[in-house]
Amino acid sequence: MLINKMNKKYGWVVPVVLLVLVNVLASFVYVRFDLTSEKRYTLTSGTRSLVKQLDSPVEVDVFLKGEFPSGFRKLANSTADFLQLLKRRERIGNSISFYIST
Amino acid sequence: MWSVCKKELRQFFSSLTGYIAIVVFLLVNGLMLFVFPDNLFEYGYATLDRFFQLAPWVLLLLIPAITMRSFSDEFRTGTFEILQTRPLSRWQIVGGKYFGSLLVVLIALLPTIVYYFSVQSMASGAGMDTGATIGAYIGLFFLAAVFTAIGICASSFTSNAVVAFIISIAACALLYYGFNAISVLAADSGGLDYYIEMMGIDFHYRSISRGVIDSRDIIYFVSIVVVVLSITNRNLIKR
Repeated sequence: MLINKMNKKYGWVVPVVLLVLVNVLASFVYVRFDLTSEKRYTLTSGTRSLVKQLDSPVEVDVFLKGEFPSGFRKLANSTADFLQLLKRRERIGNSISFYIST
Repeated sequence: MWSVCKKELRQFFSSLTGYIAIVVFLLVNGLMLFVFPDNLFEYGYATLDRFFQLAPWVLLLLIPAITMRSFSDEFRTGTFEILQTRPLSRWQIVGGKYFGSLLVVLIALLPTIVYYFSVQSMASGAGMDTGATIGAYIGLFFLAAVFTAIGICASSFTSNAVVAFIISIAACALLYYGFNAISVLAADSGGLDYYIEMMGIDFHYRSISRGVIDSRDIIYFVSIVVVVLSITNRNLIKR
C-alpha cells in the first residue's frame, strides 16, 4: 500500500536518477568517429602529449566576436570548436578555460 | 504499435496539418538560406552550417505544433478510452504516437537533402565536406527525436492542445538553449559553467553537427528520449 503510494508519487525519480547515472558513466567510456574529410576534429598524438604535459591551468582569451565578414566568422567558429574540443578531451575541463570576447 | 503509428500518419496527411507543417518548414529554411540578406551566397563558403544553426529554431516551433494534438485530442474527445480497450500495452500506444509524429518531422527534413546537392554543384574546388554533412544530419535527427518526445509528453499532461503547444515550446527551449543561458551566468565559477552547458541539447547538438559522432552525445539524446517517454507513460497510468 505504502510502496504503491510512494511509487505513484516518486516514481519519476528512478528514471531521472538513471538518466544522470547513465550519462556520467558514458562520459568515462566513449568512442568517437570523426566524419570530416581531413579529420579536423581529432587531436593528433603530438597535441595530445603536449596537453598532457601542461603543469598549470591554461587560460585562452580570444578576441573574436561581433559583426564580421564571413571569413572571420568562420575563423571565430572554428576557433571556438577547437578550444571546445581541447576542453572536452581533458575530461575534467578545468585545466583549460577560454573566453571569447569582443 | 505500428497500427497506431500508421493511424497518426494518416491523420496528419488527411488533414492540412501535416502539409502545412512541412511547407512552412521548407519555406522558412529556403528563404533564410537562399533569398534573404546574409544568405549562403554572401557567406561564400560551401557549407550548410547556417542551415544546421537555423533548423533547430524552426523545429522548436514546428514540432510542438505537430505533436500538440497527439494525446490531448484523444483525452478531449474521449477516444482515449477506446484506445485503452484495444489489445495494446501503454508503451505501444506511446511508441506508436511518438514514431508517427517523428516520421512527419523526418518527411519534412528529407527534402532538405536537395540543399546539399545544390550547394555541392555550386562549389568550386574540393566541394562540400560530405562526412561532416552526414554527421550534421544525424545530429539534426536526434534533436528532432528529443523535441518530438518532449512534445508528446507535454500533450499527455493536458486535454487542451494549445496548452500542450505552449508547454512543449517552453520545455524544448529550456532544454535547447536554457542551459546555455544559465551557464553564461555561472561563467566565473571555474568549471561549473561547463557542466551546466553540458546538460543542454545545444552543447551535444553542436558537437555532433561538426561531423563528429561521439557515443556520449548519442547516449545523451537517447537517454533523454527514453526518460521523457517514460514520464509520458506514467501520465497515461493516471488517466
